[in-house]
Amino acid sequence: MPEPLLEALGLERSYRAPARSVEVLRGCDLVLEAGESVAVLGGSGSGKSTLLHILGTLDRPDGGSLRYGGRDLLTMGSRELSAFRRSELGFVFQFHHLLPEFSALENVAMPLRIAGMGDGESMSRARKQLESLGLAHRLDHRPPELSGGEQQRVAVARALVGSPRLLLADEPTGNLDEETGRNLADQLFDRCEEEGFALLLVTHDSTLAERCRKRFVLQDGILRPS
Amino acid sequence: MRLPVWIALRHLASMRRRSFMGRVSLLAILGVGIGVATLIIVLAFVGGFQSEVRELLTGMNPSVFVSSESGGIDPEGDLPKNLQAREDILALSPFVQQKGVLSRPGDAGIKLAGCIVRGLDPPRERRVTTILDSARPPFEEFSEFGASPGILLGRRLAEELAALPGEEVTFTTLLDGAEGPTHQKFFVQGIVESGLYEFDRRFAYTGLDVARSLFRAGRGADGLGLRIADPMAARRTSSELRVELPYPRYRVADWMDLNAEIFRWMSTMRGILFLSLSLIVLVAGFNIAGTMTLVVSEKSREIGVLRSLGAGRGTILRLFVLEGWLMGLAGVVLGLGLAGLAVLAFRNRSLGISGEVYFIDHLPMRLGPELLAWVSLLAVLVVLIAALLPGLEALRRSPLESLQEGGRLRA
Repeated sequence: MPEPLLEALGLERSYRAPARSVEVLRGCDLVLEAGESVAVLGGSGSGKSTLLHILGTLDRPDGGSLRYGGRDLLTMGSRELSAFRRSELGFVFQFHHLLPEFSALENVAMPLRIAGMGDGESMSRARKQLESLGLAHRLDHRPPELSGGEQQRVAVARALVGSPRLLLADEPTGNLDEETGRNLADQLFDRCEEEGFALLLVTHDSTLAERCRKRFVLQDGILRPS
Repeated sequence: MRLPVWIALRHLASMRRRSFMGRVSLLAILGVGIGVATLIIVLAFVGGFQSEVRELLTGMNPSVFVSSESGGIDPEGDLPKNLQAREDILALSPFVQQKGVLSRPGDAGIKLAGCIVRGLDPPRERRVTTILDSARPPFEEFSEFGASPGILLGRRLAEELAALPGEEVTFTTLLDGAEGPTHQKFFVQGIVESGLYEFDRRFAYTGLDVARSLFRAGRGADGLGLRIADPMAARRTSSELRVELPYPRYRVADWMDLNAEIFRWMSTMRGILFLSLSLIVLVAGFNIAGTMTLVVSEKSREIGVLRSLGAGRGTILRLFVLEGWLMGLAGVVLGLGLAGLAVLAFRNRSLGISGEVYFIDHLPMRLGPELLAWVSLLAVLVVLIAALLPGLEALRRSPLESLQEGGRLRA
C-alpha cells in the first residue's frame, strides 16, 4: 500500500493567553492522498487556520506526528523545511498577501526566483500562469491596482506556479463577494483536476467544502468526518 | 539579479511612496552622510596641518645637523669634505649661533626680545634651506649700512621689536667671561616669514663672518646643516653619522629629532580626533539600525510570505542586511560628496588660526585617496554591522509569527 501524501496523527496545539491556556487542537488526525481534495470546515476560532499552518510547516504542534511522503516533518531543521515548502507546497491565504512593491507578474515569479530559477524563465512561466487564470491584461499592475478577485487570482497563480503536490488554501474566497468567490473556486478546482495536486481547503463555507472529495469538521479541537 | 538584491532594491525604490518610512530612511541616510563628511573634513584639515608643518619644517630646517663646541668645526676641513662625499648628502652649510637679546628704542621706551642670532653663508645656505628665500624684501646677500651689518628678523620678532626694514636694532650677547657681554648694532635688512611661529619668533640671521666676530668663534663654525635627497629618510643618515662621528666632539640630530614633540602631538591629536569623530559615524550607524528595525517590523508579513514560499533564513538575513547596507552606502556616498564640496570650497584658501598656539597661522586642507579609503571603509563596516542587527531581528520570529504580524493569535 503506497504511503499517503500527508499523514497527521494526534496533532495538539495550545496557546498561552495571559489568564489561561487555550487548547486549539486536541489530537487531530488527517490523512491526505495524492491528488485528493479535502475540506476542513469549522466556525471562526475553531482552529482551522492553526491546523493548516501546522500542516504547511509554518507552525509546530505541541504533540502528535506529521509525515509527508513518508518523511517526518517534525524532525526537519529550518533549512530542510524551507526546501520542503519550496518544492512541495503552495499556499493561498484568506488575504492575498501579495508583495505590494512588485507587479502581478513579479509576485507570481517570486516562488520560482526563491527556488533559484533565472529571471527570464521564471517570468515566462509566471506569465503563462497568469494568462491561464485570465489575467493577461494585469501582468504589470501592482496589487493595489487590482480588484479583490484579481488579487486572489494572482495569489492562486503564485501558489500554483511551482507545480506543488499539495495546495493549502485558507478561506481563499472568504474575502470576496459571492460571484467572484465562485469564479475563483471554479478555477481552483479545475486546476486541481487538470494538474492532479492535492488540495486542502480550510473554510467555513459549506458550499465550497461540498466541492471537495472529503470533508471534515473541526470542533472542540477534534477533527471529525462531516 | 540575485533574489535578495532584487527585493532590497525594490524596497528602497518604493521608499518614496511610503512617505513616513521614506522620511525616516532619508534622515538615517543624511545622518551617515553628515558623519562621514565631518570625519573626512576634519581629518583633511588635520592632514593639511601635518603636511604644512612638515613641509615648513623640512624647508626651514636642514635635514640633519652636525654640531660641535663653539667654533669647533672647520668649514673647509676634512669633515665637510667627507660628508659631501656621501651620496645621500646633497649640500651642506656652516653656521654659528648664539642666544642674546635684541633691543630697539621705541616711543614708549626700549623694546627687548630674546632671540637666537644665526650666522649663515647665504650661497651655501640657499642650497640647504629656504630660510633666505622667504625674506621680504627679496634678499641676495648681507650688506652693511654705515658701520652696521645687515640682519634678517623673523616676522614675529620684528613685530615684537616694532622694527621695520632699514631701522636699527642692537644685539647683546649673553656670553660669560671677563670681557662681559658684547653689543652689536645691526640694520634690519629684511623680514623673514616662514609661516612657523617658533621660527619667526626666535630667529634672526646675519652673515657668517659678522656672527663669528661677534661670538668670538674664530674661523670655525658651530655646526653644519646638511641637505639630503629625501628629508623623510633623514633618520637613516643621522643614525649612520652618529656611528661615524665621535661623540661628544660631534653631536648629530635630524629635523625629526628636533621636532619630535610636535610630531608626537600631531599624531596624538589625529588619533583622538579620528576616534571621537568616528563616534558620529557609529551613532549614524545606530540610526540606520533603528530605521531598518522599523522596516523589518513593517515588513513582518512580507517576511512570513517569503518564508511560506520557501525562502530560507539566509535569504531573509541577506535581504535586510543588504537593504540596510545599501541605505548606509547611500549615506557614505552622500558624505563623500559633501566632503568633496568642502574641498572645492577650501581649494584656494586656508582657515586662519593662532600661530602662537598651533605653530602655523593658516590651516590648509589636504585630502588624499588614503584618507577617503580609510573613512569609507570604516563607514561601510559600521553600516554593515548596523544592518546586521535588524537582519537578525527579522529571523527572530517563526514564519507564522511573521505572517501574523508579531504572533497575533489567529486560530
